Amino acid sequence: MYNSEDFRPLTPEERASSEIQRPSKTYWADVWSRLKADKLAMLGLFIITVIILFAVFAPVFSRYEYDEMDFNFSNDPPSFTHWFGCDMFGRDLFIRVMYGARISLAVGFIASFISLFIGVIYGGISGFIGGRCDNIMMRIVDVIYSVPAMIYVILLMVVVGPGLKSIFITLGISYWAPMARMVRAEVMRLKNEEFVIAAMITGASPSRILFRHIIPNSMGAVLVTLTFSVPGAIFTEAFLSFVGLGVSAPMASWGVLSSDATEALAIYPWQLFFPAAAISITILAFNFVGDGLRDALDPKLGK
Amino acid sequence: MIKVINMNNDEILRVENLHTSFFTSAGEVKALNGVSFSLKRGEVLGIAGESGSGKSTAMLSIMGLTGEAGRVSADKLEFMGKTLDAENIKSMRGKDIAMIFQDPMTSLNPVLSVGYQLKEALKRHHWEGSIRDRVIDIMAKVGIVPAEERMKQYPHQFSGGQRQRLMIAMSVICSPVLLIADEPTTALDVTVQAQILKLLREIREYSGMSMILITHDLGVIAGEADRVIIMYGGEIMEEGTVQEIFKNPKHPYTLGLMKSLPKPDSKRERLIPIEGQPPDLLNPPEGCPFVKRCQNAMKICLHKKPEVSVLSDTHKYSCWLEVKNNA
Amino acid sequence: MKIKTYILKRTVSSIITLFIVITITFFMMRAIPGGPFTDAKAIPNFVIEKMNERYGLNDPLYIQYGRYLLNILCFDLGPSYRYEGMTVNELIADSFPVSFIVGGLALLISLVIGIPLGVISALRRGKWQDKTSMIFATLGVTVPSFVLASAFVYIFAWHLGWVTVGFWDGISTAILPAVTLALYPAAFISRLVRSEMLEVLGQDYIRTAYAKGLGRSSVIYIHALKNALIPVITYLGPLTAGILTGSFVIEKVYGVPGLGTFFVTSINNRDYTMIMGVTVFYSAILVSFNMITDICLSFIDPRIKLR
Repeated sequence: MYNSEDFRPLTPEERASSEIQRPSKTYWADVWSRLKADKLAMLGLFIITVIILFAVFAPVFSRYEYDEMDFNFSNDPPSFTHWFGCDMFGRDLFIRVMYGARISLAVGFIASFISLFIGVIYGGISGFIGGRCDNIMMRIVDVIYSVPAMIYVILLMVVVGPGLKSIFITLGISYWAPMARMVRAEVMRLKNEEFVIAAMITGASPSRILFRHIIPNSMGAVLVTLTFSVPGAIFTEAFLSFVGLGVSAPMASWGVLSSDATEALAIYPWQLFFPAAAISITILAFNFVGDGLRDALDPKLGK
Repeated sequence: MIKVINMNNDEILRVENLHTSFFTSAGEVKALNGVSFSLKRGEVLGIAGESGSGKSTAMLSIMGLTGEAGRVSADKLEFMGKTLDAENIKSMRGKDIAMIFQDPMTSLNPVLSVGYQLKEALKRHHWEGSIRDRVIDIMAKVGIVPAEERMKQYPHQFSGGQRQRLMIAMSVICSPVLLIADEPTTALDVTVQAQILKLLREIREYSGMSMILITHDLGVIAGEADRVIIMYGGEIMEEGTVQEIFKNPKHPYTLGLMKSLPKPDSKRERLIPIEGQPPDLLNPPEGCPFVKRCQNAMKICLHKKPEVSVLSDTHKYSCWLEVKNNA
Repeated sequence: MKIKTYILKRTVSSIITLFIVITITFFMMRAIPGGPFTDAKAIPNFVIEKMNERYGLNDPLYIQYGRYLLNILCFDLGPSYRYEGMTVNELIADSFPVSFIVGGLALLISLVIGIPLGVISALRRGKWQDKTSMIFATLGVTVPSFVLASAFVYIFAWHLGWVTVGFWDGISTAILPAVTLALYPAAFISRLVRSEMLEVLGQDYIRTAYAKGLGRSSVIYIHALKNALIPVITYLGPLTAGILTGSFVIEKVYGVPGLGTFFVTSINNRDYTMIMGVTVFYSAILVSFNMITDICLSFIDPRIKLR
C-alpha cells in the first residue's frame, strides 16, 4: 500500500520548502502597505497632491494675476477664457481659487504644525512628569476647553488684527489643547512599557527618554490627529473670513472667496460654487487620508 | 481526593467531521479541519493545545457563536439527540449548554449591574419560581456574599477571581447539562485558579453536569479531566483517557507538550520547547499540520493527512509513524 | 461622593474657571492698541474724551478691572459701546432666546439623526445602508456650514420659494437654520456611534450575552447600545460649543436676529463690552453644560466616579 519512499525522513530542503516565507516588515512599512490597499485613502492622497501642485504651479502659468481687475468681465459666468468666471471686479476666479489654495493650505499646514509642536511638548511633559505637575497642566487645558475654541480664536484675532500672519499664530495657539490631551494619554500609556523601562535602566536622561523613545512611538496617533487638524484649520479660516476676520484684500483664501460670493448668491451662484467645492474636496480628501491612516495604524478596527 | 465520576454510557454530545472557516479580508482561514469527538453525561473532557490550535473555535462552533464571518459545517452535530442547527442552539444556549470565557475582566458588561446580568438568562429561559431567590442562591453558592447587596453592584467593583465566580454563577444559573469552560483560569492568579477549579468541581459533583475544559495547561487537565483531546492546527492529534495520554503519549506533538511541562520529580532535567510556529491556517498544510515542527517528519507527512490509529476503545491518534511501524 | 457635594464642588471650580476666562478676556480687550472709540474717524477728540470718561476708561486699569468683576458678580455685563443706551444684558436677553430655540432644535436634530444612522450602519456594516449613511456622514463633515446655509437659502428660499428668510417668526423660521446647524454634528455623531458600536459589538461581554441565549435585539439594545452611547454623551460638551459658535454664521446667512448675529456685528464694530459679555456668557453656558453632562455620564457609566 505504501512504499518505503513515503516513509523516508524529510530532507532539510523539503523541510525548508514547507515553511511559508513571510517577509518581515518594519512597523511603518506595514502601515504603508495597509494604507496603500485603502482605495479611498489613496484617492485622498492623490487629490491633496493635485491640489498642492495646482496651488504651486497654476499661478505661474496663468495668463491672469489674482489682483488683475477688468471691469469688462465683471461677474462673467464660466467660459473658455475664464474657466471659473469672474468676480464683481472682473478678476479671474480660477486664478483666485488657485491662489486661495496657497493661502488655505498654508493656513491648514502651518497652523496645524504650530499646534502640533505646542501640543506634543505640553502633553509630553505633562504625561511624562505626571503627579502634581500633570494635574496643574491639565487643569489649564480644562480651562481652555471650557471656552468655545472659536470664541477664543475670534478674541485673539480681534486683538492681533486681521491678516495672514495673525491667522497662523491664532489658530496655532488655539488648537493645541486636543493635541496635548491626546499626546498626554499616549505618553501615559507608553511610559510603563518595557522599552521605556529598559531605556531608564541604561541611564538615558528623562528628556531623551521622552523625545527619543516615547514621542516617536506615539507618532501614529499624532499623525492621525494632524490629518484631521489640517482640514479643521482650513475650516476655521473660512469661518473667520465669513465673520470678517480673514485675510485682507486683494489676497483671498477660499473662505474669503466664498464669503464674498454669498453677497451676490442669488444672481451669480457659480462664484460660491467653485471656492466652496475647493474647500469641500480638500477637506474630504484629508478625511479619507485620516480615516485610512487610523485604520492602517490600528488594523483590528479595520475591515 | 477521589473523584466521583458518573461513567454510564449516556452520550450527550456528538461531533463528527466539524469544519469551521472564517472569511477575512486576507482570505479564508480554515480554523477547524474535520474534528470529531463525543461526550458522556457527567464526563469532563479536557481539550489541550496551544493558541490557534482551534480549541476555542470548536467550542464557539458548537455554541453557534462564530459570528458573521464564521462558516460551520459538520456531518453530525448533536446534543441530547437534537441537531444543533441555528434554530435549536438558540433555545439551548444558556439553558442546556453554557459557556464561560477566559478573561473575566472583559466578559461582564461594565454598565449593567451583576444582578441584572444574572437575572437575564433566567428571564430569557422562563425560569419557574422566584428569579430573585435563584440569583441570591447561586451567588451564595459561588461565594459572593452578601448577595442581596452585591447584586446591585457593577463588575468593576469585583476582583478578577470574583468576576470569574460571577461568570460561573451566570453560566450555571439555569442548571445546564453541559458547561464549556474556555480557559477559565488562564487570566487569574495561581491561588485563585485553584479556588475556581475547586468551585467548578463542587458544582459538577452537586449537579452532575458535564464539562468541556479548554486549557493549554496540561497540569489542570491532569487534575480535572476524565478524557483528553490534544489539538493542533485545527485538527485532533491524539485522544484518550487521562491515564492513557499521560502514561503513554503517542503523538510526537503530545510528547513535545509533555517534555515542555515541568515535572516535580526531575528538577535537573531541562524543559524542551517545541521549535517553530503553528501552521498558517490561511494556507493550511495539505498533509499533517504538525509536519513543520515534527522531529520525525517523513515525506508522506507533507502531502497526506495521517490515518487514525486506534490503540484502545478510548485511545486514538493520527500519525504516519504508527502506520510505518505496522507496515 | 454625594451628588450635592459634587455639584457644590463643581460649581466652585466652574466659578474659578469663569474668573480666569473673565480676567484673560478683560486684559486681551484692553491690550488692543487705542481705545474702543479711536477707529471711528469722524468723532472729534473732545467727544472721545467725554465718552472715555463716561465709560470710565480713563481710570487706572486695575480699577476698571475691579469694577468689571464687581459688576459681573451682580450679573451686570455693562453698557454696549455701540448700541447707544442698551446694556449688554439687554442685548443678550433680547437675542439669546432666538439662538436658544435654533440651537436647541439643532442639538435635538443632530442626536435624532446621528444616533440611529450610526447604529444602523454599524449593524448593517458593509451593506447599502452602511454605505449610504457613511456617504452622508462624510459629506456632512466636509461642507462648511456657511456654504451649506447659502446653498439652502438659494435652493429653498429663492429657487423653490418654500421658506422665507430674513425675518424671525418663531419655530417655523427656526427649522431650516437648525437643520443646517445640525448637519455637521449629526454626521459626526453617526460616525462616532458607528465606530463605537462596532468596537462594542466585538467585546467579550457581547459574546457572553449571546452565550446566555439572549436574542440579537436584546443584545444590541440592552448590552451594546448603552456602552456605545457613552462617548456620545462625552461629545455633548464640544457639540454644544460647536452649535453655539456655528450659530454666528448661520444666523447671519438666514438673517436670524440671534445672539450670534449680534456677536458678529459687535466684532465688526469693535464693541468690546459686547464681545467680552458674549464670551463670558457662552463660557458660562458651556461650563454649566459640561457639569450637567458629567453628572449624566456618572449615572450611565457606573465606572465613572464623581470627583
